[in-house]
Amino acid sequence: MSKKGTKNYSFDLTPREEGDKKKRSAIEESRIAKAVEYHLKKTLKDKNLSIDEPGLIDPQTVEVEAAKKIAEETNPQLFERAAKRVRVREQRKITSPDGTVVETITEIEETRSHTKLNVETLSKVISRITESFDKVTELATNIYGLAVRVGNYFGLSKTDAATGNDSSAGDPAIGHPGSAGGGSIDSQTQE
Amino acid sequence: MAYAQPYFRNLSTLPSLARAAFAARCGRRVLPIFQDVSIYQSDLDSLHSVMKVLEFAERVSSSGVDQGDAVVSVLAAAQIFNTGTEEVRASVAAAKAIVAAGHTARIAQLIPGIKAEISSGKKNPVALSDVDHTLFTTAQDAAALSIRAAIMHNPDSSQLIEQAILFDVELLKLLARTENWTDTTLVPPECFGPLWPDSEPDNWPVTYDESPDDLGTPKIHIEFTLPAELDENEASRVISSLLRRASDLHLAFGGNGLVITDSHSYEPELIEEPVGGAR
Repeated sequence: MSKKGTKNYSFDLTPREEGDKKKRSAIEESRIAKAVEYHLKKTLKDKNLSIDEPGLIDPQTVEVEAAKKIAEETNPQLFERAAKRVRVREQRKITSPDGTVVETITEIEETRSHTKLNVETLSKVISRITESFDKVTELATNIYGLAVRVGNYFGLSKTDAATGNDSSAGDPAIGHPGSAGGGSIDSQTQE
Repeated sequence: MAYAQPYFRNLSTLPSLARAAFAARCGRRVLPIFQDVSIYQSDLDSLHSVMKVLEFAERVSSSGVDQGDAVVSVLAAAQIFNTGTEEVRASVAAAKAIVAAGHTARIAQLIPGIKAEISSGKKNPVALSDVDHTLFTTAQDAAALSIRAAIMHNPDSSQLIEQAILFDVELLKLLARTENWTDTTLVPPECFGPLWPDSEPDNWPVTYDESPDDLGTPKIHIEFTLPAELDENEASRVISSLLRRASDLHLAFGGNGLVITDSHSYEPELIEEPVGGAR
């Protein structure tokens, strides 16, 4: 049973191996990755770019998302929360001739009807998304500027570093959501 | 102690937990120097005490408060430090940097309470400026002592450690400004990135406190949701921008950029509710 209203995206990112500018210990590599993950997730959370945003996204959809997470992560707390938003419509037991229950089929339904996002709500969501990504852009741009100021020791060209130039829109190197990955995120700053 | 480094002045502009995070970071950077000597001398009690102080300082900056600050006073009062070879004195300076970080954390967690007492009229506002100044000087001590430890250990590390500290201060200033940080904004160690943005000094001791299990190929997993009604091209644009920026951040922190190793999209599905334990 799928529910319209939202679409989830999942990405695994790993450091590129080629073109090592500096030899680093595994601990330092790990610290870099953790920093990137921290700032990305913080940005998403700060800007409420998540399904758990009451008032922006239909609560029903929130619970559908929570249920999905249960299936993936077996998270008891999320399960408990999700369970409050669905009810059993019908339960049938399939029994063997000797009376043993071999299967229980449970049909559930939502406790409230799905409400599609109206235009106003959708525009708020899009506005928040845009703001969120602007924030990431700003942070990256500023760190790039910082790199230039403290000696350009990240090996970036000054033009790229100073502008934090985004030429990624429509970048064919980026794996399109929905497809298996493997795409390179960055095809220009390494040049 | 005279501080020539101009970037120390900027510490006074940072919120309290950011200063605590900065001091802990300075201590973390030189911890391997102390570890190396104390393990060689089989002085594991001192090592554990110093590491407890550092972990306390990092917990305070990550969570705002922590009850484990008693060890800071005990360690500061104890005469566990000794003199000896340059190597030993470097390790003493490293331990002192970590203790200074512990003091910074202890003071930082007091600030919100003092502010509350001032606003309710129970305390004179002067009290805050005194505490604030102490917070500034302890954070400054942590930085200066870490520089001293690094230079004693390896005189050639002077530029590298000053660059690393400068990077930390500038990054904190930037984040505090752009994200409107306050004294209660949490600043975990992950906020900073690599300890050595340029490269680690030559002959730097190995760090022992990281679990080898954690050191596989780093992988960043992000998952987020967009409304299905969002135009597919627009969704692709913002996602591309996000991933591109993730790679940019990785480069800016000194990495090589990121590649996508797996991706998928899906519409959330409703799962059935288990009833009465039946399977």
